[in-house]
Amino acid sequence: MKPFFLLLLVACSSLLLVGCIGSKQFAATAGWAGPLVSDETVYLGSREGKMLALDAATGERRVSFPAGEKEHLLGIYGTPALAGGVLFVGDYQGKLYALDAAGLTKRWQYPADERKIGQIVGGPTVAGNLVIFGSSDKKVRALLRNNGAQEWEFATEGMVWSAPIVVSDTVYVASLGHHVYALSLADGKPKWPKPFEAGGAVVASPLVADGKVFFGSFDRVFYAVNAATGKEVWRFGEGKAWYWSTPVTDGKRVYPVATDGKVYALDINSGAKRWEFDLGKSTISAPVLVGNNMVVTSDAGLIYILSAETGAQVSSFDVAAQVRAPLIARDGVVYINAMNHRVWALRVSGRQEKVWEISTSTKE
Amino acid sequence: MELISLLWNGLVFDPMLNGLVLLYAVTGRNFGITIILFTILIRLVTLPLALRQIRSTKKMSEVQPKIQALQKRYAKDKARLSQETMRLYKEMGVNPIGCLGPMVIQFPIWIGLYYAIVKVLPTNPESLASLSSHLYSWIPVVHEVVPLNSRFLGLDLSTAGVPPLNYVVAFLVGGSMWVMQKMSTPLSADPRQRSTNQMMLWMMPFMFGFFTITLPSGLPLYWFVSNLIGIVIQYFVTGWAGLIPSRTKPAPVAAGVDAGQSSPDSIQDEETVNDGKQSRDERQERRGSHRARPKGARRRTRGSRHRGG
Repeated sequence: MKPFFLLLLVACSSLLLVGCIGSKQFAATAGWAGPLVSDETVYLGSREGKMLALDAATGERRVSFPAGEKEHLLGIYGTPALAGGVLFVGDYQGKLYALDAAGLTKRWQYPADERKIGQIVGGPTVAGNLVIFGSSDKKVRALLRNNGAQEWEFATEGMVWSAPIVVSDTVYVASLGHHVYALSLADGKPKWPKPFEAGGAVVASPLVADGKVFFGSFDRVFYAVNAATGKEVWRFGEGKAWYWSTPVTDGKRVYPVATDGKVYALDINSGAKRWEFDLGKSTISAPVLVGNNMVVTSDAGLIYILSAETGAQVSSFDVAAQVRAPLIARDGVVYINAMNHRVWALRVSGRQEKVWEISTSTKE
Repeated sequence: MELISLLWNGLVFDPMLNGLVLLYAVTGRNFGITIILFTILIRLVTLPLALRQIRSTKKMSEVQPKIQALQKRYAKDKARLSQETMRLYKEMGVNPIGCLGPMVIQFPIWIGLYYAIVKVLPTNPESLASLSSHLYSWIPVVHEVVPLNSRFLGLDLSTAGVPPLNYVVAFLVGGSMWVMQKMSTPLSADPRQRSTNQMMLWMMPFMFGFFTITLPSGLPLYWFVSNLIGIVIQYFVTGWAGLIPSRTKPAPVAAGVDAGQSSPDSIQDEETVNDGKQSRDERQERRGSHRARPKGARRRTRGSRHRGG
């Protein structure tokens, strides 16, 4: 065989290798937004970049934003926020939109011009007359709800990919730069003497409860920090994987989920482990508590219902698709935005059943 | 496909990715420096292969005049041509695909490095989320430093550069690749070969220059450093070679008489003398076949020898 043909063979084999293996290395920016459930409507960012308003009872699509068939936002990751009939949603292009909740028509956008800020991954949070959000340009911004005028901004040491959490007059923000901040809601000034520094990136929104701030980090440690002072109360370091999702609490325990699929129940005061459950597959989806049960999912597409008390599996439901969006529950129904463009409403309290299932894809 | 993916990740991709992140953690947490150091490290590890490839290519180019002479001589006898060519390769200690072996081994390394760089600088949450499963759980520090700081000399290594900086980087990548290719491409008197070489010489730098403008800047940095190292290695093995034409002459098509080398006839004689292990019968057989050649062919050969002189 001539060297030229051998070389050609090698080049073709390499291209094949690149094609077969390489395609898995590049992930498209499509988003995994958690749904927001109001009285009659489910608001949801689809993986095609549309903000949808669905009938909460039937899943039927009412309106979408942008309305044009070929128009779309780029990657909606954050759960939207709703206040005063206005829906707030950010996208990966670095725009925050204020939409009329009824018709999903645009009221204003930030920035108002063509300028772009860093990518918005975490959802916005509404507190008083402000809408607060973080972005990848290492900033937390507070805008006036009615017109989008900037009220204050705070520079962090890393990208902010989570929704700020507001408790009373304090805004708690986590950053991928290893820090968690407590800021004044009024002016964005730091409230702790210094931000809390974790050993790794903090990607999810913290949970604030029982006078503590709970969050997990990429250093594979789960932290409890005093909400008033920013001092560490306890830490849980048994995990062997990152923490990507916001934990939940029932007041007695806090339940973090690690990316290797391990679910932990930790004593809220001491951090002592009460039980752990292995989902058997990686996950970044945040769990939700429904009554005495915890609902959690993994990349395998199984929805697990666990006893919050014992960690025993009560039941499971197969949605047959990876789920990365946080699970959202209301009135005993869990809403699941799966990665295969399908949205499920599952009743998990009492008799377990599928309420509805729809496709958000315009191609189906 | 699942098995290939497992093998690929376990043997090539994951070790490289963790190596990159570890290097980042222990060398000041600057990913530009990490890429430079890692490229040097990989180039050092693969140096024996690279040297073998360069030497093999050099030997192949040295033996070309004799091959061309054989081609002329046995133009009508393909089987004999093949036999004589293989014998020549053997006697000269040349492996005709010797330059491809090292290349084949290096390919997975380069592809793995390419993807490791892309993967550790996630451009969106999807890629960062999928990074977690590739990091070794027994090296805590690789988890602590993610996501990596991608700023280096005004470039964001995780995204495509912005004008005019990306054009400067594209020029550096394309230029260094051109120099490396120019040094490593043997000069040839064969017009077809020369034309192919010429096309490759310009096509590759242009292609990579274009990639530079569109791909995350971490990759062009890797290409640039890799090219510079390649130039240094090439210089130590072959000198400036094809880069300064006045120092080298194209290999003559007809039997290398210019270079004081033997004609097809004397090739055979020389081979016979050199090959002490050959039996008397073999030598006789070869002489016999020599004599049995058509007269015209012999004349043509001599004619070409004359022209070559």
